[in-house]
Amino acid sequence: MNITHILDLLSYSFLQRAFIVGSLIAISSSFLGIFLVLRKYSMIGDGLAHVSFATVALALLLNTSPLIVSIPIVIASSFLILKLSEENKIGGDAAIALVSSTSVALGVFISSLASGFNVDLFSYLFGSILILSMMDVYFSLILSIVVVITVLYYYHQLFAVTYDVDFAKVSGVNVKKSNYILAVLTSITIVLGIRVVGTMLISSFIIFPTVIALKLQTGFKRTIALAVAFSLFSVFSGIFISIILDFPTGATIVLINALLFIVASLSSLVLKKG
Amino acid sequence: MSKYIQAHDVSISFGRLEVLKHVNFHVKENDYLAIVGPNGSGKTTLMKALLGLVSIDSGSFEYHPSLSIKDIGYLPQSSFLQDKHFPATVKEIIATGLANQSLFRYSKDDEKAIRQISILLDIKHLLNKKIGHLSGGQHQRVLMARALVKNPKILILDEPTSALDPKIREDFYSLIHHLHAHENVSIVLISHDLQSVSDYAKNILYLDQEVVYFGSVSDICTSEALIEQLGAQAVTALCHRPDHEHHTHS
Repeated sequence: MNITHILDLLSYSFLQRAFIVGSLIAISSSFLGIFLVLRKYSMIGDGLAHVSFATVALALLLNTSPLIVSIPIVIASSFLILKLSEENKIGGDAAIALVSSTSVALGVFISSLASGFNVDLFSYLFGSILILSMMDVYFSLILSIVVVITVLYYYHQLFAVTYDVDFAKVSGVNVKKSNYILAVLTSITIVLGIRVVGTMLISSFIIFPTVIALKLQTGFKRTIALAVAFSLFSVFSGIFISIILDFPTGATIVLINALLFIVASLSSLVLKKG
Repeated sequence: MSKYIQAHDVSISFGRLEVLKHVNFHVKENDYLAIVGPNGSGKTTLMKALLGLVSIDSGSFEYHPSLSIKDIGYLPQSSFLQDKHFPATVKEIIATGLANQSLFRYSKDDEKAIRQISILLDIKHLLNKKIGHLSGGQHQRVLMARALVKNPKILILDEPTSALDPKIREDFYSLIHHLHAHENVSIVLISHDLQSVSDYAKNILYLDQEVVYFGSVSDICTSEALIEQLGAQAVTALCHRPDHEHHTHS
């Protein structure tokens, strides 16, 4: 493989779309990751990804766009998880498990109703860059801009709530509103990400880059910037490697993240001992 | 002297467990009130209710009309160990005391407020350090700066010295005393250590699910309820400490 081959590959429009959408998801998921990981909300991403499996099955059954069906239902599910946790009737982790397992069961049930779309559903389970359309690119662009601008606008509130929720409340921060903003943005990012890495792997997109960046022990804004860099690297290298070696793209991206995590963990161990 | 906060017959329970029963007390302007009691006496619950973090079953808190949310500063129990790996600088943590800024950058006024409070608490040199890289004493000063950065009229502290060693603890009490005496900040200090706080506080609220004693420090020696609670020996020892007079009247 030389530079001409790489340039040839880049001339394919499906690959260009994959790079654009992958980069947009990398950026928006990294902007959210730090707030979710530090508030121990990482599993919300996983739970909502399972919800998106059911919504994709529903969209395919109704023969409509998975994006349009998924976003409102996943947002509503994130509100349900928050409501169940807030009212303290059941714990946050139990609320996620309930919503997520019910959704998977619904997804399986719906897919059994119409066996014709099982191949399509499989591509949404583990992602497929071949299914990205220009409409996906436009949607991803608009929604990623919404995610990034909202995080920047509410940055101080989100930071205050992440560091010390009680103090934030006493200082007049609307903690409930911050939680709901985070839930909406996470839902949007998850739905966007299932096109590239699939419902099974999207939560790692949110968690891995932030956890790797946290290993480098720098400031809050720098951690976000580093997470963006790691995420972009994993998307670009993952797409390239998967095309060249004919690997599944979503899985390759996640495994590159896992490798980066191992390297970052070992480096921080060595630095500590040094 | 006007009353900043008044608690009227406040009762709180968690499920069937009654944590506080019919609590009445007040915090005056320029007060230094220590809320004291054994573990499980309801001190932290009372403080959280005062701050609106816990809902009350019956009774009410009455706040002086001149008080707004920015007039109450809050220093929670030490989060020193949890913060070891939190990715933020001291400046970022202090700025959360100014929360409600809605843009990514700090305003000039915010920068000025952070600089002034860090000079007052002698932590200006730490502003760009990571919060996890501080000692216990430095960490507590940073949280104090966060509580004071908006110039509150009342500072509420929940066992602020529980994670500090005795020398730093003494320095910290002196700092609180300085804020009260020279910056006119009213103090509400929660502690399980009546002996330490009675050196500095003007008034004591002794709790054990209900009010055992509420009054001035100088009157604790004659409180029959407190003598019954702690024993005559402990109260007498408290009243006849050589350093007692010095601090309370300084």
